[in-house]
Amino acid sequence: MILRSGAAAVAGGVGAAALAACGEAEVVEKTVTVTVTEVKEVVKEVPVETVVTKEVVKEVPVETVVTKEVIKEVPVVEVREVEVEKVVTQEKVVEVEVEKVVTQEKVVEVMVENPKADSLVIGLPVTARVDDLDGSQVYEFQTKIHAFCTSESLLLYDYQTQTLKPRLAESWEVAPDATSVTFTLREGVTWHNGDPFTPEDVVFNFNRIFRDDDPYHAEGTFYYNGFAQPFYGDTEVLDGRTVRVNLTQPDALAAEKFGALDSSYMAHPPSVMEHGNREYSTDVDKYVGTGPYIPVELRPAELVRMVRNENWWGPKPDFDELIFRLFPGGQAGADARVNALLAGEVDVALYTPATRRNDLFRTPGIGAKWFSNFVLGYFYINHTFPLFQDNRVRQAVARSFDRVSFYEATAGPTVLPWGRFWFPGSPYLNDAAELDYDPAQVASLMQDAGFSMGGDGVWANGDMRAEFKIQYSGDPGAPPDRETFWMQGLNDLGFSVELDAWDPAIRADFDSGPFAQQNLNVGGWGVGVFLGDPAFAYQRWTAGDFFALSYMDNAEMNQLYQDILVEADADNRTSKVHRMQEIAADQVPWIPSTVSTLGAAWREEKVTNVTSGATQYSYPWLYKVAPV
Amino acid sequence: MTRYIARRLLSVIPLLIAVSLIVFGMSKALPGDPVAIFLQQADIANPELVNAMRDKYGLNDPLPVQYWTWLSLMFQGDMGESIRRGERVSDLLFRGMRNTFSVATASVALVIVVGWTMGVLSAVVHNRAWPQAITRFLAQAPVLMISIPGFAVAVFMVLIFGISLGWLPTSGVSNPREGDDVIDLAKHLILPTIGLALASVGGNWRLARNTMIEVLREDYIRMAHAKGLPLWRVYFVHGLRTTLVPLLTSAGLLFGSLLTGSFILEYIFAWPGIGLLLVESTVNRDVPVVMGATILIASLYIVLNLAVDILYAIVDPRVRYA
Amino acid sequence: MHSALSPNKPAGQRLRRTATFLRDHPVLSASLIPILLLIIIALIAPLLPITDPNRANLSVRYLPPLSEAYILGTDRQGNDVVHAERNPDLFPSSVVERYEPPVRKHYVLGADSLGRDIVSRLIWGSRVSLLIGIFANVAVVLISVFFGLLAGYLGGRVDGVIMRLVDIGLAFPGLLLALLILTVLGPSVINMAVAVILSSVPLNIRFFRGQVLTVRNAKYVEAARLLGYNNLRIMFREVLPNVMPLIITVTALNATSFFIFTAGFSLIGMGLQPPDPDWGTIMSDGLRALYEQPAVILGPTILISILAICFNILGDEVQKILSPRESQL
Repeated sequence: MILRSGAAAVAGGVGAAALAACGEAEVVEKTVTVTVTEVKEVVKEVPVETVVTKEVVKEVPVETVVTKEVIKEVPVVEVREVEVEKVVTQEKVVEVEVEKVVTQEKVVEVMVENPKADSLVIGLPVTARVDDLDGSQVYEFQTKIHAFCTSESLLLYDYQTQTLKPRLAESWEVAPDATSVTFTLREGVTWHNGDPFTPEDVVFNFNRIFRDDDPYHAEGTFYYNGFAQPFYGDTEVLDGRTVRVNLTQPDALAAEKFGALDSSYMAHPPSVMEHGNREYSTDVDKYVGTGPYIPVELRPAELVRMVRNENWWGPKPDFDELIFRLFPGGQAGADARVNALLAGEVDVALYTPATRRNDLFRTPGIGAKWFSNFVLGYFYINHTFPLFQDNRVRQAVARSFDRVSFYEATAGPTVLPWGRFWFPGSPYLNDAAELDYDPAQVASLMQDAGFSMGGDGVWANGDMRAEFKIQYSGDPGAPPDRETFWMQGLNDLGFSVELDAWDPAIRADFDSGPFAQQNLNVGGWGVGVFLGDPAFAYQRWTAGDFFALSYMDNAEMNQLYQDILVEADADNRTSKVHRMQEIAADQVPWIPSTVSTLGAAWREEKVTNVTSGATQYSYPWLYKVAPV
Repeated sequence: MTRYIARRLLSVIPLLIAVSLIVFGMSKALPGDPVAIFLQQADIANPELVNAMRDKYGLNDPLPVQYWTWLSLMFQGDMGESIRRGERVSDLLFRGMRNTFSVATASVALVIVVGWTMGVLSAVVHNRAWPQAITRFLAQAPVLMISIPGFAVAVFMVLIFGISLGWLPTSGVSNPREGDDVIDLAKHLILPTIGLALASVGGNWRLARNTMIEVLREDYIRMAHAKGLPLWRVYFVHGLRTTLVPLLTSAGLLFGSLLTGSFILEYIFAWPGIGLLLVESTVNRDVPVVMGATILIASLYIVLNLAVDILYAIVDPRVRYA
Repeated sequence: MHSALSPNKPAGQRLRRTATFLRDHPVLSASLIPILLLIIIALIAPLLPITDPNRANLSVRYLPPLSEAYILGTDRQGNDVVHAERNPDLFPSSVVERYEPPVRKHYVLGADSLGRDIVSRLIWGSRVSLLIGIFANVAVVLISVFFGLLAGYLGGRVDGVIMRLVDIGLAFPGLLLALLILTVLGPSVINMAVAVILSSVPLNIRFFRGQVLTVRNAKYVEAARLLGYNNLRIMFREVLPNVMPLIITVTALNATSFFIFTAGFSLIGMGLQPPDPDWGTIMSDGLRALYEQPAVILGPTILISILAICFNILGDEVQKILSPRESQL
């Protein structure tokens, strides 16, 4: 665990390693010419060599402005080409929509024949804690779907519109200085056992979730509250309907974090105190929640059965009985879910793999779609590797992945190819912050960076060859098609790239894993971004942890983040986030791969549609199932 | 006899100690930090969190301490808690074992019913004036069964009987709509069992055939014929009794190895057995589960082998003095 | 009971005898043909006029068997860049040398999920599969026979030590042992071979030891001992030839299980690592595309089955020929 000692070691190490490893006279010269004045200032304090390296890091923005102009001027023609492709894509999307309309007409006929959708079986993967009924104790968002039918949070975050919706709280208000947030609770909400839902329950739960020393601390949630915990001060009851959360530091996104974070789900205090967290969450007889369905049977790794909560505060829940059939995670479970749907064993299959797209679309009576997710996939880069210390090389590598071709061929037009930074489908989307596939620009970037094409067809700059490995990881049995295709694209464009063995385990191993400096260089596959929260992205940018080989110190970035924290105005916040995205696209801290997708498929005799993105009163979480 | 059994039982103890050392050593040799992997898959990790979790699971103690803690806890029936699933390892193992047990039992039953019957049958008709095509089929069919990968057959069976015809369930152990009864389980067992047992059916078929043919050549069989006993009596009472010894041995060993859980078949049928659990937890470096599952499987395997040995010694006295 | 293919004969005579032997045993010869054919194809794979098994061409993704596409040109590595249509403007960036006009290319077994030629993947994949099925197998037999001989013939303390180690190895079911070894060592071809060897050696040692025990006290061994030959000579010149028939049979039977074994591991992603093909990874690829393109999984399945059948028959035949009693079966 080299990095346990913290970020500083890596941060200092990057610059020092840069000189020690490559020692290119050229690089040093450049920096000096750019920053003559500043070098003079610092020389007094520290030995000269160190200062130079330090300046390399700090002055990157200055350099980038220059390169950025170059980037924008050169490929005007290319940009047009890209736009033409986009139009074609959009036409395809229109066709798909037309098909969907036809499908819905069919459904109307079915609806007459089978008017009552009494019971619904949903196929769901389980990867981590399999049998949690309490939303605040679930480890992974995939397994939350059934827990979110039984338990609820104060607010709901709609990932499609990036807005908050009321749930157990009717309204909320963040203080103007962003130091507290007040929630007004909905009237008439009761727990499954008839107890009224009170502000004291909220106090109990917030303390339980956000305080490590609370006797009933909900363990499962700790990494989701990681975003909120540092901000949490205490909760006080204002009157019979309102509670206020006091923060330790200002946060303009406090309502999202405390009201709608994936971990801040309400548990029934007396039951938790009587049975303890684990028993409460895994035993249907001991569980008491507020959700639209009441669990009645739980067979670990097999099924969760729940019935309608007749006393729910919202509109009447759609199904008499809701059964979640649990499948293994990974490729095995995904295929099994699709098979079970095709064979009629389940009515809805969630997280369906795009590899089975055609089977689902071709089968009559089956509806299927894939939605772009709020989760963005990216490849990490080992920034300690000399080759990747030049951001032009990073840009070139990022632009050598033909995401559009790959995803159109393998997953179809329902999947958004994504070369942009951060928040798909959000108000934070910034088209300017792109890293799209562009062979011509790859060549010019490499030439700018001092590389020339060697006789063996590989870019080289002195001793430094454009040679690295792509480390890939994934589900057992799911071949790394994306990595394979990208590798070929890189090789076609003059890089010498190999794939490195699949093993998710070594990815986190700093001594011998992919990020060990001697080892390899573009690493695995990660997901990011909850809540469209700039804090998340910023953490990725700065933190000295496993992800932080994308570490870079950038004054403008730091300032923007500090501003965003207290920026209450949505438009201003958006423009600041846009600027953060542009910096990221310029610096390429990691390489965006694609928006990961949520797939859903259903039997049309039972369900008319499944939509993604939580809307008001929606359940299951992330998906809304519309009954026939 | 008693001495032999006692000696065999005693020999198991050093074996178990060696196995526990190997399992512990392997768990330490696994590349990758289990805690870091878990946190990383959840997409958040920082050094303090990792360290706290490592403390919680005792991963920061010196190795001999870890070994002793693990061993002594295991003797109290506590195999620890799964890092990934948060459940007790013993619960996970029990669940996996139960599901694997059902499919292993069904496979051994299939081997006995089909493999042995066909084997004995093909031995009986071996020297008779039956059409060549039939005797040859009975002799060569097991070769085919051994040679075709069972999992490939399983995949096509899912496609045909599960999806296209809709006769049999495609995956899992139960259908929530059907309730949790034996018939439902039996239906779910059919395809995995065929996939799992195919090669063993072939192997036992061939073994039964070859053994029976040899036995039928023995003098005492000729004697029985000469005494004018009815044919069925000669074959099925005198002949079968001797044939059964190697067959029982083979079935016992087969059962032992099937209890490992064939992870390939469990993978294809999303069967929540011990094999799938083992593969999943190996990939995720869920070390407590890997250790628990390995030690459980190895112990079961040792015990089953021992049982087979002892039974063999009871049936065949020569073994005891070897 | 000495081996039929006895050494120390002039080469020509030996060849003639082999030919006669093969003619006299048509079943054995027939089962040898596919095995030898595959070995030859695997060995000369680099010389065959087939495309790079790893070159992806997305436009011919899941191309059905017996269809054709167009080679637009070659890429930087000299591999064919193929497109489903004749339009040469579709892969401008990767084509460095254009064919004018594009050349027709036949896909006998179709293409897989990335549009790679299945025939070429099967042929290149056979190198890995045969490597493990045959060479790992030979290693297993060599190791097992050696230790089996030592344990069985020398007995005493040597036997004790070897057999205790074997017992420990046998305490783990083979699949489990291989899985653990692969996890510790990491997935790769060599490690796969190591896992296969380590997990099947204990059982084989025990088997060969048992066989050695049966001939150990035979008259001719006693005689050799009386003649004052040293143990090494007796082991390798007297005992070994007499367990030879079994060695051949066991090797053939091992081969079957090794093929299926390695394919299974590749299937769940623990075997050879992509993009390089072996039959298991092709099956794993085919499993995902089963409904779209069943041909992908059929190829390796059939090849594995044929090889396994041939090895089975080969083993049976050798046993029949070399042990007279069995041959009446």
